[in-house]
Amino acid sequence: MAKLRIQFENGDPEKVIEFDPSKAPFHHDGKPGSILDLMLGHGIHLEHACGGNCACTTCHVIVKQGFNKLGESSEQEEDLLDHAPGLTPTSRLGCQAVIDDPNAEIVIVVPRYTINQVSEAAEE
Amino acid sequence: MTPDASRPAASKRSTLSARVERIFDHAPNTRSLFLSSTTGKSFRFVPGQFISISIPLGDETRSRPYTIASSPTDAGPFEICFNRVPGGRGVDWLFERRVGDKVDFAGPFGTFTLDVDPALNVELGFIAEGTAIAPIRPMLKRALAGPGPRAKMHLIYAAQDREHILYRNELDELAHTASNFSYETVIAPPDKTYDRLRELINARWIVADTDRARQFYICGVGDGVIKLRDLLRGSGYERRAVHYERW
Repeated sequence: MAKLRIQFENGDPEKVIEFDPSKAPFHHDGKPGSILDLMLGHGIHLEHACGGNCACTTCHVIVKQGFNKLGESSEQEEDLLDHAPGLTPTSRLGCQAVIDDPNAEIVIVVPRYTINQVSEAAEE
Repeated sequence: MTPDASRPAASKRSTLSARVERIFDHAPNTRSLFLSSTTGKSFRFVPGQFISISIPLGDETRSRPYTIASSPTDAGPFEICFNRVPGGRGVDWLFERRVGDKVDFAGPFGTFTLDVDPALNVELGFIAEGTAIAPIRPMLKRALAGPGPRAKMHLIYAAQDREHILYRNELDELAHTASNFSYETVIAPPDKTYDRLRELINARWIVADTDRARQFYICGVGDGVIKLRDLLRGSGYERRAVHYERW
């Protein structure tokens, strides 16, 4: 079984999901088997304003462990991450980061600031 | 924890509400809804952004994105524009809304926004197809409204037929009044749309000269958008000069 440990920068209690990647999809938004798919399928909220279509950065997560176990990011995901507030070298979009290794142990942090910077900067 | 696809994900999003003030059908299966915030305050956004509408489907609520087609400076309600797609249950629900109905949404969201100062005199290329003109429309208005020297701007707009070229009169008016703005339309069947766009982009912005300082804003559906991105980036334009939104 693969394991996803989810920590929240805002202090919410940590959640742990143990799952069989071959059972994906778990919900209906984001790539099947993605962090977003997993979290929604286990009743854990992760913002995904664009519906999990790789068109915004609201599902930005920071991978603390197991970054190399995730499926590769696309150029489109990288282009969007350029705009993510609090970008780190191990940032991913939850809707695109797929866990397909049955032995993966992934730890992520959901940033406190999950609303797009441009949104926050909406005009007066 | 065990998977439970039937259980709605715990929601922390704060939602806003809007009332449907007006409905306008551009063409068969292509509609605009004009929405006004129920708080009485005007809704603030940046040209190019979208809202995420809460759509009840069965026993759960899903959020689906719809780009704002109007400008922040327009008086009155803001506009979303969409078309019916096969199997699109969310958009079917939107088509069922009537004047006076309430719509819950969050936002605005999105980073596909005009981040070039038109006064810098950097030529702007806009490329859109069908309802994907929605984010481009307020960007154009913003870019053309600014003071100072005006950058050259050109829009290539594709649709399957003439009636699906949206905001035609408005685009004509902009092209008539703004000497730095021009546009052309491309009528092509859906399976040929991006081939035609590719040809036009190649002719206008790649083989015509060696200027690689232009900035581009592309909006459309599917892998064709990615191919246009790669065409421009592969022809010497900087990665960050080619902005795109792919639905």
